[in-house]
Amino acid sequence: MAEPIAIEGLTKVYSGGATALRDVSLAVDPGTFLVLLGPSGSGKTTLLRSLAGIERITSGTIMIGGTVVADGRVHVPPDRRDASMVFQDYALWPHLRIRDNVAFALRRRRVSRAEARVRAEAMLARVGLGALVERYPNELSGGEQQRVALARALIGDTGLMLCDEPLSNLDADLRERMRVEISALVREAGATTVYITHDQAEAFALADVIGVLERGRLVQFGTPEEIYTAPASPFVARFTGLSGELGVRVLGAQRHGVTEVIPAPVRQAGDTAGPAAGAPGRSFHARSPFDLAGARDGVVMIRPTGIRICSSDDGEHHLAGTVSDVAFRGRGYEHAVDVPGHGRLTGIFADVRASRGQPVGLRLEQAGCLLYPAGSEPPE
Amino acid sequence: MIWTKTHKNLRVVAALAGLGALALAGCTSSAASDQASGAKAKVPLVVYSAQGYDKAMVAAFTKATGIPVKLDDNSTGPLLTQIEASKNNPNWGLLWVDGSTAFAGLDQQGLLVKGYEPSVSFNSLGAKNIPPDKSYVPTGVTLAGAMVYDRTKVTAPPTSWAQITGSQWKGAIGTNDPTQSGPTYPFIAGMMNYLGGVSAGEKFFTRLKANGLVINPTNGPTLQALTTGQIKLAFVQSSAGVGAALGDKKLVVKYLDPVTMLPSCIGIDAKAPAAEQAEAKKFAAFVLSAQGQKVMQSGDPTGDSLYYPVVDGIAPLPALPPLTGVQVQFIDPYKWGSQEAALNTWFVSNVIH
Amino acid sequence: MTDQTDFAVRAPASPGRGQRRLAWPATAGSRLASARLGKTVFWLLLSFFILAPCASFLALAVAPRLFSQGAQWFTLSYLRQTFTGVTALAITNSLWVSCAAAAFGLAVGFPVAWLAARTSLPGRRLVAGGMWLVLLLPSWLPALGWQRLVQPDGVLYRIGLSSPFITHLIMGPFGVVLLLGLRSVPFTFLAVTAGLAGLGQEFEDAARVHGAGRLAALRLIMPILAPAIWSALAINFAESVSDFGVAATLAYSSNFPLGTYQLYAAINNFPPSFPAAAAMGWLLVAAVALPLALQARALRGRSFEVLSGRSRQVVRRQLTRPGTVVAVAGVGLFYLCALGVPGFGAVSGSLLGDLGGSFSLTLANYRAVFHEGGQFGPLARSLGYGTITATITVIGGFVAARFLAQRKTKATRLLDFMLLAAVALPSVVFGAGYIFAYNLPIMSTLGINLYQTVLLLVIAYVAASLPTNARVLVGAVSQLQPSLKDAARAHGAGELAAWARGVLPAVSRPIVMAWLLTFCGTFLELPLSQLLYAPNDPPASVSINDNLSTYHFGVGMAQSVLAVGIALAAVAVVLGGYRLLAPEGWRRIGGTVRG
Repeated sequence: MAEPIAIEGLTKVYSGGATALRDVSLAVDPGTFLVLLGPSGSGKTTLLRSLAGIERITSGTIMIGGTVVADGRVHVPPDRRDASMVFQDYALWPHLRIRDNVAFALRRRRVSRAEARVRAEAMLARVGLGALVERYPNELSGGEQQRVALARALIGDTGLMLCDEPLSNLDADLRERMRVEISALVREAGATTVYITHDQAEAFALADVIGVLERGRLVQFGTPEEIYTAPASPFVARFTGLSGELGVRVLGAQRHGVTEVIPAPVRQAGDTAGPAAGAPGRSFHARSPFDLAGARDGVVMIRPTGIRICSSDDGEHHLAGTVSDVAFRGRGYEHAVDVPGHGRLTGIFADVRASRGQPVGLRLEQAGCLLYPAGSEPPE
Repeated sequence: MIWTKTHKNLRVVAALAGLGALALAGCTSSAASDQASGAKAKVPLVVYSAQGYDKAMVAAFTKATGIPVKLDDNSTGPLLTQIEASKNNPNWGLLWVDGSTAFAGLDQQGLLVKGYEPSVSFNSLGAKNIPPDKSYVPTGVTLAGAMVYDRTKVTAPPTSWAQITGSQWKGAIGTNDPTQSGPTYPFIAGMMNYLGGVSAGEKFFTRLKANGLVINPTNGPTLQALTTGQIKLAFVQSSAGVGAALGDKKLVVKYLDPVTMLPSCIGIDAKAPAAEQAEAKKFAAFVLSAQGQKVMQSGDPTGDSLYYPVVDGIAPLPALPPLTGVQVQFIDPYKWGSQEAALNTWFVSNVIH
Repeated sequence: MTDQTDFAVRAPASPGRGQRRLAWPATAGSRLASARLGKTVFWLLLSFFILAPCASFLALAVAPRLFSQGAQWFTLSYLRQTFTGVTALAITNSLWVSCAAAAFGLAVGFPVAWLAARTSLPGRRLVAGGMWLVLLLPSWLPALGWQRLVQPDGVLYRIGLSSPFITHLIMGPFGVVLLLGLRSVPFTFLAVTAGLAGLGQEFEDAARVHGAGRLAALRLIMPILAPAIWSALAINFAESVSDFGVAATLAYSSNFPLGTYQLYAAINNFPPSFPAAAAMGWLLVAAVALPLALQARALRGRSFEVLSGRSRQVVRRQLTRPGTVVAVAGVGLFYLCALGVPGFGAVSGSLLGDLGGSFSLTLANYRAVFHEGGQFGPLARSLGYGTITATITVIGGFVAARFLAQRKTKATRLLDFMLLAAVALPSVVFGAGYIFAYNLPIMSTLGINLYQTVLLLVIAYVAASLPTNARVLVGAVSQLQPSLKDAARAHGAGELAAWARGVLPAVSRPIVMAWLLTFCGTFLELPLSQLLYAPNDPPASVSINDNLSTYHFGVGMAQSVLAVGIALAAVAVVLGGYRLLAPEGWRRIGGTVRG
């Protein structure tokens, strides 16, 4: 039975003084697939382990299914929390056959040995390992071991399922297949799932809701679409896929979430003294979902969907630069373009190939440009 | 030039072969040096000795005759081991240790030069210890099973062997382990000889063991057990006992009747080259000469120098108790030597453990 | 339903999929000839210096006439004899004492290893260093320290604290078990620490999350440590059975016969009997080889190695206040017994006069060591022996380790087995074999006259240390990538330079460690020294034991203390020198052996 989760003011400070989580609060309904997204060190693993009960919290409250499982005083041990977990390193016990690895998770259901084995074999068959039940973990490939871990987590039919970067150890194409597997099996089981990843594409593909963590704080919580179209800060924007950033000056007032701006070149490192190089560029409109509070200077985060190549002498372009790299992607080409005064913009898609060194123009589309006040946050 | 794996492997091979060459060199060099010195200078005499005065004797001998000597000073056990182990290719020229049974054993294996008679006149003690085939020569006599006690702690010492199995001496008697202390087997064999045979002797020692006999490895530890009060009577070699008494005036050395002779002897390796054998004979003659006897008596004044001379005209050191009134027993080393292994094993199995 | 065959891809860092063997490419082409020659020479040397002596000695037990040591061409009487009398007692003693010591070692070593690896034990960094110290000291040194402390007229007696109960306790089977057990603790510690390294926290976490309580989770993961535990027990047992140091000192003085000393006595006492010694050798070898073989067989195939580069950092358990006190007290008690008490016994013994019975400290013994002839010489001599042996052994061990690290052929498997057998062989048997083999008629026919020379002693040291050295280096060498040297060659370095610059730095740390291990082992080595030393040139251990057996306790103890001081100084110089002189990059490699 899926359980709702409620976290209030969760803080975790390690004995060395490092703060892993600062005042995190969130709530999910039963059966939701929550993905915690963030760079390494952002505290997502700590949050997951706190939910599992293998990490004690410093302050705050965690409630699973309406019961307080952890606060400053109470700490329900992991074996009593009715959760299951898929570990990043699979954590399969090397001295047990995979059937017994999976059957172990049925102990808490007080199922007889024989029954547990039968159910384990059935679950292994569901994940495609029916022929390998007698094997030991070290005899399987990475992908197979991951499926065993998944089977172990699913078999207990627990209310909460926790996944700690389960796909990060796998090859690229395997990762994609396994993602689909996990998504299907977990939703079939209907458990509330908390899933960690640092891969934004994976997060967007899997999640019902995403929580973005940065240095221990929850900086945004919403659906994938919300996060993508209206990232709460430049950090979130950067973390969810950018072609590049553009320093701009605000030209007009903010109206219906759109503002007119003009690219303002910034001094590059190593530039000699004198006016900044490059032509100023033409003005364009950018979305500004949050209040700019009258800032004069801003930074525009450009999604890959918000920039494309055009000719440099047709007057339609907003910026001009030189192609420094071209990468064939199967369904087209991605270019990296050096724009004097603004650095390098990458991931610029075009059907036709522009050659290296070719001068090109760049056109910015309003939908893919997000404006934030300058200095709202130091760059990573 | 391109260094290939060939060269690397050749270097490895060279290094390892070098090690092997060193090994071979070790052998040839010693052999070569022996031959070389034999041709030009005198062959060094190799002396295996366990005697406390051997260094002084060797120095005096070389000074007097100019013959170089290589001395291997060690306890009797390891020396015999070396001789046994190397009997196919012996290194030694002359053996000088306490205890005639070892020499009898070597003689029975044909390892000793026979028929050597130094031109010196032996006294009665010496004459008794000359073997029929003259394969070894006595140089001095000590006594096995000399009794040592602290006169302040023991006012009525036993006067016969039978008394020491009495209950008043329960747990108060100590002696050495014959497998580790050369002078102890002659004591055991001597008791067996005196009591009438092996089985009588075994009974005696079994009674002693039942009476709490304390065994220590060698003279030193047994005497230490005496001085720390662990035992009241120690039965050790006479030279060790007298030496201890010299250091501690409370100690007294007494001989129960009879006490067994333990001669120190010199035997010469039959396989040694003729030149070395000749030198060895000169060494034995020197030891038995007046000058040599003086060195023997001064070289280890608290230990081996405390012996009874076997040569006419030499008096024992004044610290030694006189032999008058005590029967000094001679045991046939050929008869008792061959049983040493078996009897020692019996002793260790039945008396020590 | 997914297609399973599609998932047969190369898994990166696939945990447990057998360790990837970095096989050195077998030589090919024109270089084959010299490589073969090198291997042949190596095998020849191995046979000559390790196989032949031991084989001919052991053959004596059943065929004494073969080497003119007896009358019979074939007899079982010597073997039968070993089952009677004192020898049977000695072997029995060795067996039960070793079992007890192995269990003791595990009982103490396991908790210490766990505390150091998995909890917040204060001073845990010192624990590993302390264990190495206990390991580096030969077993006879602590034995002598304890003995000097409790013996009649010992240090305790001089202080006025003598207690016959304690004396009888230590100078008897209990003391022997205690000392051998203390010696087993470092072996256990190392084995269990290595096992714990492969035991990531996630196994316990997974068990807890999936419903196991604390105790049930521990029970589940214990089997992962089983190989380490069995290894520890087997090694403890083998080391205790083949130990000569405690047997020749404490056990001998307590009249408690042990197998190794009985073998030595059979050769060195009245009258010497090589066949009897050889028969005992068989029993000792069997007692040592059997557990090691069983252990190797039990572990074959089932690799519990789950080392992956992403193993989570272990979260150390915070000990409670009282828990910390108890833990520190326990670990402290171990070091007290292993190092403190014998150290006190040795140092105070060296400061006391031999006679007098009082506790008045004097430096007379140290003065005697430096001024009396023949007392300091052995220490300097052993220093030289240790240095030479360590250097030669490390080179030879490296070569052997390279052979071992190659693709598994019949030859490498045989080499592996032989080296393991050589490690198991008690030094006493080895030494006796040397005495015997190098006095055979064939040796004099060949003109090899090495018995009682320094050269033979050094050869014996090298041959005895090489197997252990090779096995220590195999781990590091098999992790060397062949491409290191090829890369150096490809970028212009000559053969020698490629080795020196490309490969050796990567193994410099293990080589330095192996050198130190061999140095300390040889400097204070007892059995081979006792059996093979050149007359009048005794090594340190022989000289010390001679002094003690002639009741010169004070000088003997002073020599011991100085010997330990010299050994530690040498270790400090080498490690310090390495730290100062080796480029920083060298020291960072090989620090952690985990893949």
